[in-house]
Amino acid sequence: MNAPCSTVATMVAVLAAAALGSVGHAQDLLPKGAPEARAIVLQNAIVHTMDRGTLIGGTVWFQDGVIRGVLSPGDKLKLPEGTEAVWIDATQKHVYPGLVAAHSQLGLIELGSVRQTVDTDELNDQSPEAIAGVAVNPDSAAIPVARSNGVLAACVFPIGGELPGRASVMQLDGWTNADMTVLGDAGVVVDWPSLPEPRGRRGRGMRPPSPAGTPPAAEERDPEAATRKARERIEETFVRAKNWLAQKAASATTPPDLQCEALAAAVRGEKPVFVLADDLEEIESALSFTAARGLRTVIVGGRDALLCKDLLRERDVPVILTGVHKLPPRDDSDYDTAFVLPSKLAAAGIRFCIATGEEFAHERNLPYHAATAAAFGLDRDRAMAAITRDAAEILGVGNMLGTLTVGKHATLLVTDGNPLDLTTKVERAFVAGREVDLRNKQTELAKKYRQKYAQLPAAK
Amino acid sequence: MLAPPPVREVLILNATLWTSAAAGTVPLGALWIKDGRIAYAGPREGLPPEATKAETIDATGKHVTPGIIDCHSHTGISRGVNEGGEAVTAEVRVQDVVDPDDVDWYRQLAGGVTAVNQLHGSANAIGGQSNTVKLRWGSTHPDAMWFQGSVPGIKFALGENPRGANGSNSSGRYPNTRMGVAALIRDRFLAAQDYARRIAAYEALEPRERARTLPPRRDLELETVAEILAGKRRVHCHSYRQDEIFMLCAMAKEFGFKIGTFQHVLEGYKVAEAIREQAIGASSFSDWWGYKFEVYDAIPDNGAILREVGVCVSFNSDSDEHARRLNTEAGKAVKYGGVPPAEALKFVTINPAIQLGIETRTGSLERGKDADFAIWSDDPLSYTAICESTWVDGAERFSIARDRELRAAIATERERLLRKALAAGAKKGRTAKDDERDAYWAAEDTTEAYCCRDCEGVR
Repeated sequence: MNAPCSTVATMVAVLAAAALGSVGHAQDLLPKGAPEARAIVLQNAIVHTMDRGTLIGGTVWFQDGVIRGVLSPGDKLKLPEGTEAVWIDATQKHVYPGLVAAHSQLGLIELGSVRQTVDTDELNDQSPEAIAGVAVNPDSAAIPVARSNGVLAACVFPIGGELPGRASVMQLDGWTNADMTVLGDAGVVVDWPSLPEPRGRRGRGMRPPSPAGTPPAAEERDPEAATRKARERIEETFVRAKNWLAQKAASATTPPDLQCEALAAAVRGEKPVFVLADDLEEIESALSFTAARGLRTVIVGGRDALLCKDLLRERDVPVILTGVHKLPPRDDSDYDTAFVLPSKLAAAGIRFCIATGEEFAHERNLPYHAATAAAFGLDRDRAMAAITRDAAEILGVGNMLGTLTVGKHATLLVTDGNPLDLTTKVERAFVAGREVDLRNKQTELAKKYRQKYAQLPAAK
Repeated sequence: MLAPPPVREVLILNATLWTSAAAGTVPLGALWIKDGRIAYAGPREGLPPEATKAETIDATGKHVTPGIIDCHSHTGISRGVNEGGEAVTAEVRVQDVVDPDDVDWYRQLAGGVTAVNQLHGSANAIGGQSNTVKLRWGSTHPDAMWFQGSVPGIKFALGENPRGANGSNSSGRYPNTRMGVAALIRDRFLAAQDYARRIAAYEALEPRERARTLPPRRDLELETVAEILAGKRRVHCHSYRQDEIFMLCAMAKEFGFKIGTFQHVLEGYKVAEAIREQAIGASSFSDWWGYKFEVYDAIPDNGAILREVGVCVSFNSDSDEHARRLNTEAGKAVKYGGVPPAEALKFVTINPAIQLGIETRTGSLERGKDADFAIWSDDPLSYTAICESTWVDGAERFSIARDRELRAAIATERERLLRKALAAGAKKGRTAKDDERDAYWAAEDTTEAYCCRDCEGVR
């Protein structure tokens, strides 16, 4: 269609594939995506823009890491004078924006049980000065594994304490973590303290009552005291940051304060706070805290979001659902409570996106959490948006990622089907315009050991 | 309690039958069940005429599979999955602590599961005896769930867990290394051999001689281990790394028995030929990895490669949550390893049945087998599929329609409890907020709430 000559275009496409596909070895040894000076034109594809519908037979072209054109079949492609281009015939192929894992620890944890490889939790209860992105290991084996199934960006969260630090949105390719950083400071994480489990609740963490005749322990007299104190400490820190900012504005000699500085953008309302809250009480009390302090809130977790849907909608608070593949919260809950939550939130008009939850290195299953939500009532396009467009918007990177839109990053996938379908293969992927290797440690180990069994009969 | 559902005679027509048997996948098939058994499963043409007298369900557009079998479950084990006090606890039995009321049974029925292997934990090299059950939800007695005729099993564990390497069990207990694990298991096998010899020698005595001889003291631990050596009890061995898998294979060879399954077996793809030779099968995860060092080389092609080499492969859950969607876990073998769909489904149907020694009773849609099956809205290997109905022994134990009715009953009961809690709160003159919170938690455990209501009537 838009190519000068289809035969030539095909030939060039074959050559381009060879040039773009880096020749590498096992995972750790794979080079990162190479910069590409030429324009790349994906032609005649099924283009899922995620903001302007699906263009069958459409074209996407990009250069210098940025999407330059998204064309309907009827539109005439006109590259700027003198543009050298790589033409790729994508007939029957689908183009999607890269999937965004909205809540992860990619690059912070290599092996969950090996302390030395876990870089998520600073010592103090409050460490908002910690920024996840500075500790992301660009050579983590988990990154190419996630990428192979289309996850091209992730918001990496620190964990632990009341204020674990700040989350960072990373693209999943780069020689350094600086290369990978899309938004280093996406927002302060607040792990909103939970109330202790009520007495009689089965199974979890209850202290035994004091033996008869002894005075009851402090926790027994006022089991909620510790939670109240922790919540007060969080409030105090935000008040302190506000006062510090006012003082700083008034006096140039105000001494530095790393924590207050870390909270500045949140206090000014420029960046959201990511509030980890699942229970109804947690969500409600957290929202009254953030409203009182004038903070923009994103709820992370949101298990009981439906029970306070009016509040969330009125205040336009978005929710990052940490996983759809979850057990029902209570014994009397419907078996599909977590499966239907996204569709019910959509019906209630609440902004949300879907993440994988805390299962380490399972980001590759992100599309399947969305697929289950779709099977249980969520519109399929909306399910796809929940792991692309809506995730990017809620994370504050909607201007860069999440849709195929001119001016956004050329972070996109070429697939043979819908990523929500298990059998769909991601055939090519570009991160900020650089084609990335879709192999990983696991694909290479599979090849290696299939070799072993190919050798065996000969050895006998 | 709810009354157990009736055993029905039913003819299911026009569904795609995934038989997990020689008949393969039959489009527009017929499944006739009678007296708790499958009376016919195959193309409509072969259906015996008398089947048409049965209650007919038109399942056009639906898919029917054998009931899903989970070869690694800890569901319904009342607290304490690990008797980790000693390195060898072959004498303890999961069958003594089965909870038929665990709501997770129902949730798993809603994922098409009809039988599971309840395993002891992995804290010790030789753990407790496992228990194979059918999901006869509604049974009041634990023994009613037991899968009669299943081959007895026992949990073994290799690697980091029995070493106590991951903090859960770092009590300084022997063994502390993979070397120690190997030596300990060998020691117990030798002791069991010796025990069996002494028992046999005693039993072989002339009656008069026997009457004058003190019998060997019964040893529940060694008796159980001796059953393994005699081929009467299958080892289901938690394992990850190739060296430890290889070690147990060599030991099984030395002691002349066949291992039941290697469980997890995430590096099984590295020693598939040894597993093929020395074990009935391998029961793995579809794509778990990275949570500890010994699973750093796990790959999602594991199941596919093992199968290519000739190992009988199943995928299991090891999780109350994962167990609900083992059908799509099987689908991952298509995605990552290129396993043909009907073969991939076998990873959660006939293959785990073979591994548990229940393959003559369940695991496929074949005449004469128990009527254990599930009806799906779509291709069962896809995330689009929803389980609509699950049958065990010819009785429908879950259906979406029935679930809707139960929800209404639970909602009514919850309302009643809320009112009661609110009334109680009002008496104490507390704030509305207190009441609201208590009411929220009061709705916590309805399995118990159901019992409550029943008990109140009795009292």
